[in-house]
Formats: sequence, structure tokens, C-alpha cells
Amino acid sequence: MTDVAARPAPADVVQELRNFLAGPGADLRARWGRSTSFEARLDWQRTLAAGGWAALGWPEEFGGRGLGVRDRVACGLELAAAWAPVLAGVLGVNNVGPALMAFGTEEQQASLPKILTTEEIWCQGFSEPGAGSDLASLRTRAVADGDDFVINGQKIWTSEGMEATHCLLLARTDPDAPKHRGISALTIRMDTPGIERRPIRMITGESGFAEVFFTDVRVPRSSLLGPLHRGWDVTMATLAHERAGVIGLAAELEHNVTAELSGALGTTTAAEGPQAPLLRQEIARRYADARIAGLLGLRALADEERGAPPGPEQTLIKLAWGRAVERVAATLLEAAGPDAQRAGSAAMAYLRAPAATIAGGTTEVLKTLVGERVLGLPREPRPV
Amino acid sequence: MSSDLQERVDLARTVAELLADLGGEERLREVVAGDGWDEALWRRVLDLGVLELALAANRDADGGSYADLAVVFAELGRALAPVPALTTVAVATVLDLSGTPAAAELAEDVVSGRVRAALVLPGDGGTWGGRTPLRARSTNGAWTVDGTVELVTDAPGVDQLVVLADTDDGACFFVVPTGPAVTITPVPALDLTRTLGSVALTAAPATPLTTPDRTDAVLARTLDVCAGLLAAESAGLARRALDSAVDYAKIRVQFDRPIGSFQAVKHSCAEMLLMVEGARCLADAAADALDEGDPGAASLAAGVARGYAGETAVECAERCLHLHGGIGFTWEHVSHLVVRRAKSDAVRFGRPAEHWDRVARRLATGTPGAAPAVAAAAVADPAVEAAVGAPVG
Repeated sequence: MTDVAARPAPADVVQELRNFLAGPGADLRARWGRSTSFEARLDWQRTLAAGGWAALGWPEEFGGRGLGVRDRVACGLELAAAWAPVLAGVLGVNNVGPALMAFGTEEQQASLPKILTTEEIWCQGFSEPGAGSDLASLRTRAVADGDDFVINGQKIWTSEGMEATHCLLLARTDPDAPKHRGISALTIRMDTPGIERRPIRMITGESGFAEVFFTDVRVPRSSLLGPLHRGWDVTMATLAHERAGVIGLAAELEHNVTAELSGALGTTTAAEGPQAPLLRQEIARRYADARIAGLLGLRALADEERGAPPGPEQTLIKLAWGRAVERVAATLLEAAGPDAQRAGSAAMAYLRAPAATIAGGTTEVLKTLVGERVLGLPREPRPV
Repeated sequence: MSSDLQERVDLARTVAELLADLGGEERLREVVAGDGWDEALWRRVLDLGVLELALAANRDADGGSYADLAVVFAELGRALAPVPALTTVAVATVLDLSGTPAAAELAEDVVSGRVRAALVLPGDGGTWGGRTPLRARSTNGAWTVDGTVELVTDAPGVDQLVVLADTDDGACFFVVPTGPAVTITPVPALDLTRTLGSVALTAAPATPLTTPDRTDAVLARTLDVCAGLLAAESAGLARRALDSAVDYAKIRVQFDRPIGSFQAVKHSCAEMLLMVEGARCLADAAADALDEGDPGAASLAAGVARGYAGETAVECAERCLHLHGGIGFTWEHVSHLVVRRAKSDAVRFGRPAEHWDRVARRLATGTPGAAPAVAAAAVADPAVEAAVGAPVG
């Protein structure tokens, strides 16, 4: 890590980013408006990377900004306010990159600069048709064969699966070990023969993820990331990086919905008719929901700065955020009145919202985690 | 910042230890069996000097803030402390805001416990600060007040009343000493940890505290302070319900398993934690906003905190009782005391629905104002998009 004193103060970083967003960022806005298409995301990331803004949290030695969580969250708010879409290579930057830094060989780490520039777009081959919440029960096999692994199996719900050039794959390398102990992490190119991908259309009609089939896919042994059979630990170790992610999401939610809820209060539905008083109260409750997510995030941020290790309380923020996203979308659609029949932005936001309580841990899995790890309630007995 | 935090952690511990010392469940049952009021505990709370924080906070002076006071009230709620702390702060706030030296002196007597006082505001079907049924008249400069207010928290046994009464020129606050012209009749209360009285005034001699033009501002600020602190207290009460439920779920065995291992119970507890932490965050934010001095922001934050914490305390109290099964339904168990206090508090200083309505009004006029212009145009899409972009696989 570089000298702390040499780094600019938080306000300076934000100001610097604002300047960037007023310059090259303005061109991007002119070009893409509020588009979240993959092309827009690519263009934004390339421009951000050129200015050194693609990886706020990565250490400077890897081409990042080396920012702490608070600055990252502050910068994230600026980016959201400037209509910057999610990075095209968001999984590479947020998840795969940190894993490569922690566990990668020199050869694997050569991917890092390419992840920043979008030359490499990474997806994560984690979920399977039979392994969703119970990810560790995954059955895609990687069998050692000479200097290679031969991979057979299927992944699903793979975000950016259609666009990705590379994949961080979790596959079973030891079928006889306990399920968490027989999994390895592999870095593979998506153009390797034997990989077939098909888009999955989401309920909004958009194509957001893919299913990926592996048939006798042969990759070199050097694809292994971290120790053999320790793929679970590799992925878990990088989850700490999600702390900034979830705090940032919570901050953005609070920041963005306040204006939307204020706007909803101005609609006819909220002003007239028998539903108006109840709707207004619901809108106020949504403000509370969003504010709670933001405040829980702030509190986690303060904990972080005091040097407390990432705790299971993070899970609480994710729960609060997911609930807020879902309820806010439903209430805003309610406030749209008869316009709710239209396939407009409120309806699309409502249709997208369930992702917040499914992706990255379902509400039910998270509640179990909170119950056991935060409240100390006894575990569910293992099936015999 | 961090030293403040450490001080607040210490303050919370001090208060919690004191309350545990003198206010354990055994003692609570004694108090409930008696008159719903714990004089010994109240003296100890006063000796601690914590309510004097209210004056420092109100005067924006060193040595106390609403953020400190919120910590104290959270502990009072968690302990179900049968003491008139919120009433005392409410009275002291009205007195102190009224601005006369005599009132400020009386405020000091109230927070130190030398004088016991209650605040007489009209409940008016739950709308606090609505039209008052009390009427004040001046004869040769001597004021008297007439009228009855049915439900006044902590009224039995007080030395002084601070009342809101109408005059020819509008409503004003008055101080009314108890005496022959004042009748306070105890009213059986749902909440067994607070006392309730009906207050009847018959030409009761009174001293004016505020002029009509100041009254609304004093009342509004006092209601915000009380809403914020009661939110902290309710968050503490909800915490008590959660802790009690979790403790029981760990030891109660049915079907050969502790009931806390069943997801139905575990998830209910997790939901309670989410509500409790949310209420606490909002209450702390309200206290910070009260300290910061922008009245619009403070009112919004206090309203949000009170609306959410009021509903949370009731929800958690009901779940806690339910989770205890038959034992939670008994007079001896503490569960019903939590339910009673939560339900009763939910209508003090405004019901949740009133607070939500007030919050909506403030949101509609754009009071929160934190969002810069560019952000105001941005929608939630990036956040939702990111969720789609960051699933497990």
C-alpha cells in the first residue's frame, strides 16, 4: 500500500471525479443518455479506465485508485448521479480481480490490466440447475488428466455469460471429499472448445444472463486459482470485498429513491381519491426503508474505519437493501395509478426488483445466516 | 467522533448497569403490583444527572446532546424502566424554550428532580397539539385556567403542570402548580410501567410561559424532541423483546430440538433484528438531526424515526409474546409488559400513521434536500441493475 499521507483527502478525490465526469463523462452522457446497454457499459468503462476511475478499490500497483470504503461509496454516488451504468466488466472488477490479486499466479495476474480496460470481460461460473442457494452442492466436474483438467457440466444464471471472454469457474475436483472441500476455482477462456452458451431472457424481456454448457472442455492445469480443492475458500475470501459493494448499493438506493418518492407524492394517485392518504403513508414508509439501508451502511462504514473485521452484520444490510428495493418498486408502481398498465420504467423497475431478494443470497438464506451468526440461534440439524 | 462514540458506549453501559441493578424483572413485577412507578429507581436516574443532558442539548451547550440522550432512552426502553423520564424531558423542553429566566430555573428543578411535573397536551383523538380543551383567562393580570384533559401521562403525584391553554389571542403554555383548584385522578393504564391521570382544572392559578406567537414553535420543537427520544426508547423496547425471544428460542426444546433451530422461529427473529436495528439507526439519526439545528430536517428525521420505531416496538413485542407460547400469556411473564408499553407508546406524541403523513408532507415539499440536482434525475436503475449484475453465478 502506498503512503496514506500522499493520497488526496476524500473531498479531493470526489472533486477530481466530478471534474472527470464534467469532462469525458459529459461526452458519454451525450452519447448514451441513461442507456444501460452493454455497449454503453463498455464505452463508459473504457473511458473510466483511461482516467483511472474503473477500479476505485484496487491497489494502485494494480492500476486502481486505492480508495478506502468511504471514498469508494462517495465516488459511487457521484457515478450514479452522472448516470454512469454498471461497469461492463463489473464481476471482473469487483469479484474476480481481487481473487486474482490474492491467489493468482503471475500469469493469471496478467489479466488484471485487461479487466480494467474491458479487453477481458469476466463472468462467474457458480450457480447450476441443481446448485443455487446450496452452491456447494455443485456437480460440474473438473477431472485431472495429465497436465490438463477436463470439464463437464452446466452453469446457469451466469451474468454477462453471453459477453464474457473469461470465466472464473467453480468445479468439483474431489467428488469423495465433503462438499465444500472438493471444489476448485479455475480461470478459463470462454472460447475454449466445448463451451456452449445460450442467453436467458429475463421477465423484463431483456437478456441479462446465460446458461453455459461444458462438454469435455480441456484447460491447462495452470488454470487453477489457489490451491487444489480449495476453491470454496478462494471465493469466500474475496467476499470481504463485497462490503464496499453492499454499502455502496445501500447508499445509492437511499440517494436515488428520495427524489423518486418525492416525485411520486406529486402524482394524482397520491393526491386524490380514497387511496391517497394510505399511499402517501406507504411512500413515507419506503423513505424509511431506503434510509435504513443507507444508515446501516454508514454504520458498517464507521465500523470498518475503526478497524472492526467484516462481520455477519453485512448480511443485515443486504437484507435491508433487498427489501427496500422490492418495496420501493412496488410502491412507485402503485403511485403510477392507471399508468401502471403501461410497460414503462416504473413497471420495468418493478419487474427487475425481485433480483434484489434472490441474487447474491436469497432472503431466506440470509435470514438463516443472521439468525445463526448474529443472533446465535442453534443451527438446523443436518439431514441424516 | 470516535471518542464521542466511546463516551456513548460508556454512558449506555452506566445506565444499563444502574437499571439492571435496581430494575431487574423481580423489581419490575413489584412495581407493577404497586402503583406502576419506581421511586427508588427514579431517584437513581436523577442522581446520574442524565436528564440534565436535555437542557445542555436544548441550549446547544457543552456536556450534552440529543445523541447522548438517545442512548439513555434506548436503555430506559430496554429495561422497561417505570420512571417518568420522557415526561420530564418534555416539560423541561417547553420550559427552557419559553425563554424566561424563571422558566429556565424551573426547567433545572425539573430535570434534577427537585420538582415533579407533567406536560398536559390534548390527546384529541391522537392528534397531538390540536385544539386544546383548556381555557385561560386573565383578570387584572392574574391568570387562571379551566378545563379537563383526560389522559395525561405520569400526572399522578406531580407538583406542577405545564399546560397548553387557549386565550383570546391564541394558545399559550402556562405553568399551573397543583393545589385545591387542580384535581388529578389516576386512570387505570394499559401500560403498567407508566402512570396515567385525568387532570381537571377549576380556575387554577397559572403563570404564562409563552406568548401566542411563540407557542407553535415551542410546541413543534418539543414534539420533535419527544418523537425522537421516544423513538430511541421504542427501539430499546423492541430490542428487549428480541433479546427475550432469542434467549427463549435457544432453551425451549420441542420435537427434540431447541425451537430456535426451526426456520419459522429463526427467520422471525432475524426479521425482528432487522426492524430493531433499523429503528435504532433512525432514532440515532433523528437525535443527530435534533442536535444539528435545521428544524425542517430534524422534524423529518424525528417523524421517520417515530413512525418506524412505534410500529417496530409493537410488532416485536407481539412476536416476542407469541414466541413464548403459553408462558408468554401469563401475568407473571414480562412479555405482556412489553406489549402494553409498546402499544400504549404507539399513540403518544402522535400515532405512526400521523408521523408517516407528516413525513410525506415534508418529502413532497422537498425538505430532505440532500440529493444534488443531477442525482435527483437519476433513477434507482443502477442499483437494481447492479443486483442483476452481481448474483452468485
